[in-house]
Amino acid sequence: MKILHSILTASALCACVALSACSTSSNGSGAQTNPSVDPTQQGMRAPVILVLRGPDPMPAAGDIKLDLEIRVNEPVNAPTYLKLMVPQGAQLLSGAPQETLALGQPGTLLRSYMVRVNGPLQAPIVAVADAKDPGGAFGFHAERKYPAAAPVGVAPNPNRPPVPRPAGPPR
Amino acid sequence: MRIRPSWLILLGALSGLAACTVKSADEADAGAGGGGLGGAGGTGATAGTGGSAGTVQNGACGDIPVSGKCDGNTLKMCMVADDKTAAEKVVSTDCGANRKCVDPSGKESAKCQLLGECSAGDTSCKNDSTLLTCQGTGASAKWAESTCNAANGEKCIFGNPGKTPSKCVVVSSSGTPTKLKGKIQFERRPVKSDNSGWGDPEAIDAVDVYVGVFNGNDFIGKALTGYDPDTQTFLGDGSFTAELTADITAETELWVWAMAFNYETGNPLMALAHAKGPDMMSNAQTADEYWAFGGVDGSKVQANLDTTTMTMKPFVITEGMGSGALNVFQWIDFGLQRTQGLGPQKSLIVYWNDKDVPQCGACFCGTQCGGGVVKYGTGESDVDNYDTWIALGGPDGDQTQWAKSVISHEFGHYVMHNNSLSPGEGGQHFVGQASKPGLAYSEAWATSFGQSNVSTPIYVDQQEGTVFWVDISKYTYSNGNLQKPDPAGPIDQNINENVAAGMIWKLWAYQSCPNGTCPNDESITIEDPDGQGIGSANIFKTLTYPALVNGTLNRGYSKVDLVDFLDAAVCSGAATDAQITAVCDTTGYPYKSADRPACP
Repeated sequence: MKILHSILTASALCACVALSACSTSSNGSGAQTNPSVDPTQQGMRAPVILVLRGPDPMPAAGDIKLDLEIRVNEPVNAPTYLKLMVPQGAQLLSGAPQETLALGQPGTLLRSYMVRVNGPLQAPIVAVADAKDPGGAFGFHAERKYPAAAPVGVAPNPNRPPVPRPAGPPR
Repeated sequence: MRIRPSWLILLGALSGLAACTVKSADEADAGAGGGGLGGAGGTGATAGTGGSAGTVQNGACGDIPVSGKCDGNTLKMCMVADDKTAAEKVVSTDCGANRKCVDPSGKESAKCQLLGECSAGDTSCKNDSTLLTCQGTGASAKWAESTCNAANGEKCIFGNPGKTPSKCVVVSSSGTPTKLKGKIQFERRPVKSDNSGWGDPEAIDAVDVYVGVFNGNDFIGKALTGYDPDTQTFLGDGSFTAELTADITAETELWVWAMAFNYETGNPLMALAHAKGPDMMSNAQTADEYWAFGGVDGSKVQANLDTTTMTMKPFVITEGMGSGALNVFQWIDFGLQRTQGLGPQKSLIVYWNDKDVPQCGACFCGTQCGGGVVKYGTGESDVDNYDTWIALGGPDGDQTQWAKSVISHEFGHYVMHNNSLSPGEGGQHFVGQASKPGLAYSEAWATSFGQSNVSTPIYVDQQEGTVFWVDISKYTYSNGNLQKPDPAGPIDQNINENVAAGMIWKLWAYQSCPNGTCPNDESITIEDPDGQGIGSANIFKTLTYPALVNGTLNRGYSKVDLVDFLDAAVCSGAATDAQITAVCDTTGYPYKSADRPACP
């Protein structure tokens, strides 16, 4: 998964910080767990992060188990609406397609889904979480896709400018 | 897991100190030290020899402070993560043969500084008729001027970095020179109206970018977008007019650079370079390519030219070509323009690509990181040295190139580093609660400046697929109200950085800007129902007030903080006691004008 890869590529220094910021302990039941570290040691960051995992590569057909981690970094005192959207050609066999979460404590929530895929999908499976405080001063939109969308990316340009940079001001 | 928060906030906090620094070896009172604004470092043409990361272990920094220290000609600084369990480390940069390491002084952090005015062998053009040649070596290196022979039709023509020097050359005088007109645009993704992410790409004008015109490898013209050389006026759009020294052929094409220049030194002032990976220090020591746009159908001149008007179709730089670099450039360039009257500006290089997230998430580092380089060639002198750097990320789910608030926040740290006094303080800090006053002030300044730069109090960021937003004017966050100060507490109590940011914002903002136009010729739209409307000029007057910068005003907390800033606002004449009181009343901050010492 991309997220794990980014963890592993961080330097030792930053990995240390990163790990302290994660609270991934889980009892596997979907219940919210306690954070492993004092959340107040964490800085400005997204209040909630989604991590959606499934078999890689995605099978062309069959039943697929998807695991969704809902990492709560900051208490969210507004209702959070969680949805799993399956495209045409897929069917959600188990797991709630939508639910309202109370994310009042930092920690990690787990959700599992079973999806039947009847053939190559035209669109990915998408998990989203949305929240907005009643006063309108805060909100977030978290979204993850399975399979992960290919990055748009910058296309390689085989051409290079005749000079590495301008030699002086343009006027 | 990404660590944007720790580094972003802390880095800035140290204003430059890089990132996660919490090392307290420089915990001496912030107030002390000489004032005055730092001179512009500009860019040298010769690099140091690069640096290396030190051993990672707790206590490794010893007496090396976050603001840096010289060990011979090697600049060493302490980087410590924002976590008690994280290890600190010393990062070293060899200043090289043409630069000397200078210890911190006053508000200035340690830095590698060119020994002389320029580096031996450098050439440049002061203007069309004056060639500059660097004479002497080391500390005695100085620019020498020589005049091109205008009577013979000579003009000073910039050389190609790494290839040919600038020189006086005879320019064809056969008739009226050809003028090529056109427009440069780029795709950006705006913030969606509900702040839930980035919208679809839209093409907008690229202002203040460099346009080079080439016939094959021959340079035949240049232009600055948004500048009309015929009327010598700034239009503020993407249009350009280039006077060509040769005829247009099938080979003629444009190349566009996200690069701004220091017009006094002729060197780059700010530019975008390709990040080589997530390691910021490695980027700062090994980056080797600027962001440049061309070599595509849209940049071919003849194929896109209306020969009647000599005007090209707009050259649109797409997202797939890396237009994110231009979006970053636009916001920082705007910030540089807003603050150019505050004094000399240190040079700044921004490292970005669309694949990596910097280890810091997003961060600024001042001179104590030893600066940042772009080694554009293999020769010893084929290097640009920048005084400071910013690192930003860009992959799917972390597209900081569209996060104008984050871009401008990091630039806000640059403004404090360049024009005022940084507290140089790290430590624990988080969105919803209070942190140490120095750290909170640094972050508050960066956020309030950043939001003024983008003309909205709503900060929007994206991390790991989550877009979140905070309105600093409303003092609330995900867990409800941000923690406001204790009205019965001392003035040096810990304070929430977003509350402090909102207070500066409200001091700055006008209550009304009809049709988006604020009083006092503001280049921004900054409105708030509680706004006291002192405006940008007075905010900058406060930030650069000498008694704030040199520490004379320091009271309460040991480092420069919001109290000192508010004192400076009154003492500098930028704000009245009534305006300060009105802002403090929105949070209960126990600043009392009656307790303020007499102004110096």
